[in-house]
Amino acid sequence: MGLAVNRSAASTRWALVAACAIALIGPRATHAQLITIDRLADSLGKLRRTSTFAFRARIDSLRASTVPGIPASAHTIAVTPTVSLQCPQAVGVYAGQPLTVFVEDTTQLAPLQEWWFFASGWVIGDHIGVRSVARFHAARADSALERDFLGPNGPRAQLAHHLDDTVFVVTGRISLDSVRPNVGTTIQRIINRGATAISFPFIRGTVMRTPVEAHLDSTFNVAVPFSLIQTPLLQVPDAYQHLLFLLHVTLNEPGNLVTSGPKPPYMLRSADDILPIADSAGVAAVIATLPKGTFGAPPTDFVTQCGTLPP
Amino acid sequence: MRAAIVALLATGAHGFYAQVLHAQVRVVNMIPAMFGDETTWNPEPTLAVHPTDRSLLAASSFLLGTDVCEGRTLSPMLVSRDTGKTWSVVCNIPTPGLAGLPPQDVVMRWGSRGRRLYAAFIWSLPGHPQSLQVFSTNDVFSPRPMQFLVGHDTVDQPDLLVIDRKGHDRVMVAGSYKDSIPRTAAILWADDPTGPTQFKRIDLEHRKIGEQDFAVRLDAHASGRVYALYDAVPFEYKDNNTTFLDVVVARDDAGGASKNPFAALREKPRPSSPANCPIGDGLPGVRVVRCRPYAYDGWGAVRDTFGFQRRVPVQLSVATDPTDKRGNTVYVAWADSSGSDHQRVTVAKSVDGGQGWRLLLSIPNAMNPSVAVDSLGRLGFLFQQLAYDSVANRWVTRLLVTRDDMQHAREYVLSTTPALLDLVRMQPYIGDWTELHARGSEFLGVFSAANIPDSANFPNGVVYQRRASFADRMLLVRRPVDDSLRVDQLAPSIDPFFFSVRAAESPECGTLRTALAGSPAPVPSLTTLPRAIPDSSRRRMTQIGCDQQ
Repeated sequence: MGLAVNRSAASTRWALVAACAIALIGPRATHAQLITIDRLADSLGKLRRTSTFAFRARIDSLRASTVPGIPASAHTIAVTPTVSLQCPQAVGVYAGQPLTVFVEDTTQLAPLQEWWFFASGWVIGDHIGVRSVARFHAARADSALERDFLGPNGPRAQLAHHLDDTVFVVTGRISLDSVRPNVGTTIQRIINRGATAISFPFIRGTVMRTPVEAHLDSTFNVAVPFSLIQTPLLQVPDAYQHLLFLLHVTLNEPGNLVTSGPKPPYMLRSADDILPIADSAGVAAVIATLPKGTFGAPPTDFVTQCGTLPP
Repeated sequence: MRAAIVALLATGAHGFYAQVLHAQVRVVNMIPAMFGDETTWNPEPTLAVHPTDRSLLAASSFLLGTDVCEGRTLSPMLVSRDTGKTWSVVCNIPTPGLAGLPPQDVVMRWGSRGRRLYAAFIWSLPGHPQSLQVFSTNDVFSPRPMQFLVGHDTVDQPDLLVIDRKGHDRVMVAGSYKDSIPRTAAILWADDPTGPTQFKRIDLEHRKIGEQDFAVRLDAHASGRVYALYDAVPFEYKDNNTTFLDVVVARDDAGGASKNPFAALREKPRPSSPANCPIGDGLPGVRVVRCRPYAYDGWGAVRDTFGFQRRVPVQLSVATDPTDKRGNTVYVAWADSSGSDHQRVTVAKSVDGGQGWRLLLSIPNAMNPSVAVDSLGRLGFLFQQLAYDSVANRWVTRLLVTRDDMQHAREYVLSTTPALLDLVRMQPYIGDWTELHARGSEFLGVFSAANIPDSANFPNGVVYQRRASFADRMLLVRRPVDDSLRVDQLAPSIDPFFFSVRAAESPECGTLRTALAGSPAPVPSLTTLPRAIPDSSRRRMTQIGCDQQ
């Protein structure tokens, strides 16, 4: 019984991926670019949900491997990513680090070419190996990728909007006693801007504010539903559910938040570290359920790492 | 010293070290370097030791593959090609519909000749609750998912045993099969299986019981004897407030394929037997102990009284002695709550094929017992013991290695890490089991613990593949950032750790013995935690495996 379920799901998925790949890299797509871009964008959305790595890379050599223990074969190519568009949280940014791609075939591939690869994890140790799900020649894919991933309606933009109105993102349990002055100032600035509530992209929390002043004993209390912690199936189906992301406004200094009770597990990150999360299929699905607002300009100190397209 | 330096150099520049390693003991944080930004919770590790390729190991822990492996269809395992020095995540465990939880109760074993790796785990699918899934692969680094072998609904706590039967892999999947009334310990088995129709079923229980809802563990001897260890709720002894368990050993003398399987061991009448829990009914399966109370913590009942760790009756281990040619010498370990402490682990020995048992050692406030016997006939006993502390209780992972039934033992402290509310994600906190294996005269094993990089937490040293600062006692993000305003700190969590312990003593032991010669300190009891030993030399000897007399 389990076999039937497994293979059915896998077959459907691979059929979908194969169809996407054929549509994207087939000869007809090459000759009908205006139409293809729409199809491409639609297929990219599907690929985003299937793949976990997306990167633009230079092919270093065919029949090669950069992963110790993985022998070179007709199905392995060595590449160096120049842009990592989709990064698993546990891996982070991998641009510039040679990696091995398992491909079903090497048709049209040659050293020094630039391609976009959509892939899933294969081997991650001292080096990275991925399985290619689909690939596009870089010259044709940049504009579509930019629109789909980085445009105003893309998940990255939506998350950026949420971040713009969010002091911090809580995905675990936290209770704060005080914040340091720079954080307090930022909170005040947001309040002055007319925000009536601070949104939590992954967990809807109630924010109970006391007047925030720019001094050390500013008090800022946050209540987060505990049920989400005790019922794991309700957590975001991804690897981020236990992180506290402290935004760029705090300059990532530990101690900006003083917790009441035991210190929670947290991760000090800035906005440019958080934005790649939007490219995760699981988190993107959550973001899609949130109310959309007006997309504002990115923060002036926004420096992308995972998600920059070449100029 | 030379060996220690060589060990350090051999691991290259990738690792982050608490101190120079003793060549005899190696402890490795198993999270790979390129996976070093992970902050999830990785309890319940399992380890598969390749029977012929000494360098090749496979392991598992709670590892979420959602945003790493292929969408929601695969989960990762861990593989080492250098005897555990470094590890890689490999995406090849099929978990369709993956959503928020990794595969559960994973156990992996290599086939008897190392041709295939088998994996069994619990994976709930729509319409298939708590479904046992068994897969295999002939290449752990294959870019293809493992091959499906068999599925079975409503199973808990699987254990895998693969033995050689005339050149074929006999695959046995034990577990608590909940489709019976009452639920019963059972085994699915097949030779060189390629699909579900080949598997046959053996029900282990021959008695009228309340239920069997917990673990089953297997071990085999080269003679063809297979031992099964399981627990059962006695039918005649009930209490609404307490779970009582019998710990039962069954045996098969023909590789699990006897005409009447696992019935080779029948309980004989005993001269003295308690009235309410009698022993000696003549049925297959010898009850090592009977009617032991066991605490069962519900989801909301876990507190710091036991290091934030739940107590559930799944903690069993069995090992045969390879130096006993007939396979009569066998050890078992279990946990119960029979004492005034919160939980106690006990190891017992039989020299007559499981008929009679002698208790060797019982450790208070402990869990996750695992036993193995090496080629020298030495018993290894691994467990995790709670050390109460006014600042933060600590989970101390200890390995005892004895030649004389625990009269004396080398004691190793593999880790002593704080039990922190901050690290509690859900239960279990650090897992419901550890694993210990013997290969030749070497012990290999895995456990989970808090991953705070503090050299004081690892008396035998430790290697982190992920970035860590032992000076600052913090994990660091994998890719350092240049901006000086940023802090690279990464949240601590629960990680799997691999260890290996060789037969030789640490060179440091000679120095410690010399130091002790002038002012002899008493040899402490094996139940004593090193932190309670006042003499510093004696304390150190109980951390790094020195022979003590």
